Amino acid sequence: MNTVSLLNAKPAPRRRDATKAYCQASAVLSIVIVSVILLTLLIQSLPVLLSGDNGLFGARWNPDEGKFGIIAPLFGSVFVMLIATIIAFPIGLLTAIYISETRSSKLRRVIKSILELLAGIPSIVYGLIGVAYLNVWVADLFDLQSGRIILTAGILLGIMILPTFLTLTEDALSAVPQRYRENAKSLGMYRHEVFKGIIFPQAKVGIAGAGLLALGRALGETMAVMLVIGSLDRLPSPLFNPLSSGQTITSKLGREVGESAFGSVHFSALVFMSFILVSITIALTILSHYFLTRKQADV
Amino acid sequence: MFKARNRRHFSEQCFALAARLSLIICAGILLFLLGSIFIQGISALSLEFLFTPSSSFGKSGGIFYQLFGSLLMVLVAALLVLPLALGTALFRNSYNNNTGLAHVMDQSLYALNAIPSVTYGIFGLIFFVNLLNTGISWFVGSIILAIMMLPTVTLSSYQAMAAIPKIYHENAAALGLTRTQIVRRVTLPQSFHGVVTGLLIGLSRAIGETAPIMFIATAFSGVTVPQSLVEPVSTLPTHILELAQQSTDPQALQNAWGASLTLVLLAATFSGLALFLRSRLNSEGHQ
Amino acid sequence: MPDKHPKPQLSLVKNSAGADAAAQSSAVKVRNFSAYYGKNCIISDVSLDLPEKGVTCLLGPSGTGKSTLLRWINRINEETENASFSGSINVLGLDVLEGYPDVTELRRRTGMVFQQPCVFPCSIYDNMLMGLRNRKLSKSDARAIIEQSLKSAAIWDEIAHRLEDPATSLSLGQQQRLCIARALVLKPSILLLDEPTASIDPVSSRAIEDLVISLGKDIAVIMVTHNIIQAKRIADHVIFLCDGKIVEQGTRTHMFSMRSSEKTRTYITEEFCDC
Repeated sequence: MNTVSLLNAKPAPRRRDATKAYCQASAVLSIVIVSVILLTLLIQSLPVLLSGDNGLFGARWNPDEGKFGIIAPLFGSVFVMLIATIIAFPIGLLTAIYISETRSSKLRRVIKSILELLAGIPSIVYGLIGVAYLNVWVADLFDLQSGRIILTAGILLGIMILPTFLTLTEDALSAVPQRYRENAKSLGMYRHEVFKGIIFPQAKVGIAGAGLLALGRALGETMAVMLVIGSLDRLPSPLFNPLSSGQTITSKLGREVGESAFGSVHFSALVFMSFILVSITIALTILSHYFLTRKQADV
Repeated sequence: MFKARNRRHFSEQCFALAARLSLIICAGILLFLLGSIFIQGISALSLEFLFTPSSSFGKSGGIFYQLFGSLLMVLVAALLVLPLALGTALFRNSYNNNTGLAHVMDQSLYALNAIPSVTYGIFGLIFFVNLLNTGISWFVGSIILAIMMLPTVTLSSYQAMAAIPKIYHENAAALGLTRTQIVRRVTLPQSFHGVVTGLLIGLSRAIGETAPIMFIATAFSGVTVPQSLVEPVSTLPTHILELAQQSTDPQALQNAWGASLTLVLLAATFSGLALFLRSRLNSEGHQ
Repeated sequence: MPDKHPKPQLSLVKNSAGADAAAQSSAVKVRNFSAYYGKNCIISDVSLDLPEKGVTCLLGPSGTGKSTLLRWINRINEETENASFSGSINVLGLDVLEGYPDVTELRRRTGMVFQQPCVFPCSIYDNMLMGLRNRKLSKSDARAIIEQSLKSAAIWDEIAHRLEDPATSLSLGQQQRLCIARALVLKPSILLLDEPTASIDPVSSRAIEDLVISLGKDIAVIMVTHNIIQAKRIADHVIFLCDGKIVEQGTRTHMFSMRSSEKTRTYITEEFCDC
């Protein structure tokens, strides 16, 4: 072969890499799906946003009158979430502390497996337990006619988010290396001082991430809440009374989406509420990931 | 027991007591949950229950078609999500060099994971049932469930791929293999366990979902085996929902417990398999 | 309370033909002590006395139980999975189990420094403050004690002007000296050092060794090391452990002379111990 023919030789034709193209397409599709969902929700929210005088940010919800005040369900969601976190966070944190301080790694593994099992119970089953037991107990305890109140929903939700919060918090606590504990204890510090002074400052970022994730789950939970909260479309009176019936965004959606006509302003109002909910939960999740994956910076 | 020597020691005692108390409360909650599901459900459960169709709106009879509907929907969903999740994970691991794009992909998956289940139902209702005019269809239900499973399966696959030691890639590349050949001969076989684990965990969650499918895929009664893609089915979670709303009727309630126990056992089987696979392959190390 | 393992068979314990350690009063008395991890016996039936003043080196090959013994003196080994012991340890006249029902009291009378320098992720000053939590001290008192401890650890001059800086900004050698200073804050009578220079560069190691020698003039310093030359440099008293048993113990001059037993001489010259 002389030089000229070498120079004139065409390069080998590039074979179309089907696998690569397929993978690229998959990745694009995954990104597109999220956008499609959010866009769909936004577009379907427009009717209620554009039609005036529907009391969208008021407290009255009455489809017959054309009033779609979302404040009551929003308040209900927050109230229920608050009760759930008051129950789940302290118990979860203290139990996580206990577990992370156990010497036996076998025991730790067993507990983690049980927690994973608990976290896998479907929410409708929690709802059934709430209906069959919690409603009755709460009604008896507070001498009410019905146990379908905000408090019951809060308690049930607290029980539901407890395993997830516990597991993640325990991970954060165990991630603090053992040598810090040894050094602190050699100085004659008590366990609660070791926790307060050494372990908690290092684990608090991970614990914050766990908390945010649990919050997100609490806000987005539908079936269990729907079955035990009643369906009162008003703000409770007095405002912070957990013993009244109420409504959360999710319970309202669960009940009314099936009954409202597609394309109506009613339906659009429901979609709008859903859009707000999604925005909040997505923000919470992204924030929690940021906390959970951040390396502990030096204090 | 509570002899405190000084104020510090007193705080220590309180702290230890509080931690122990919390553990007991947690254990109590655990026993209550698992116990009630098992004890209530076991009395309703029998082979007859599993294989008899339901009647009089679920108050009597069994859960055969609900069981069938649930399994049909989630298994088809798994078939739908697997190729998409694999492709996405492979792209992220082997074909992508752009960190910005990787970041966008990750955030999209986290966002998908954060969407509440009822919103998926609403989306399905708008997009498929109405805009695309499919009507109530079990296949649409599978599609929605597949989208819900996507983040779990993709991330699990991706983690398994990322955990493959670089040394395998280096040796393969040194042998002159192209990226696709490496994918086929190194990445896929070695990350297979992660893919299957993610799929099983996704299945475990999907089978218990109610809100996404109750608007778009299910009907309560008169449903047997669907003859086409655009017919409704009945499923275990929606069945339990209906029965729970008739909680004053003890027979309905008992059937609800039976269905719940079945559902929990199914979900536990999937996640138990996933755990088993994960621990077995962790101890074997990378083959 | 840690687990107590059932008593194993007694066996004879070798003592050196050199100086009698018991003549000096003992800071730590160990009697028929055995240590276990699960069913694994790491130390078998050891008895010794650790003197009240001076530097005592626990010498021997890695993995022979020196650190384990040290860590049971202040009961920090309780934190380790499956660890248990039998026999008795007496620290400053009190049994470590019965005499100190509150283990933090024991640990405030003994200070410990570990092989890997472990400063807490806060400022140098706050690190030093960690040990002082049991006393209600005014700010000026606390500062005085901290200054004194940092001076005893021969690190005051280097960091006096930067006490608010994060402790992790110090070099490893400085961090280790900070750990020693931190342990000294409570004025312990016994200082337990677990291979303190193993992770440190040679220059800083020498600084730490000088520090150890000077501390040994006032308190009991018990140091685990597998570095024979280091033991020769700084020990007043050497205990040679191999395979969980005491091979020989005595003063430095005795142990590093021709009068020591054959096993000891073999180890010192060839770093080989056939136990």
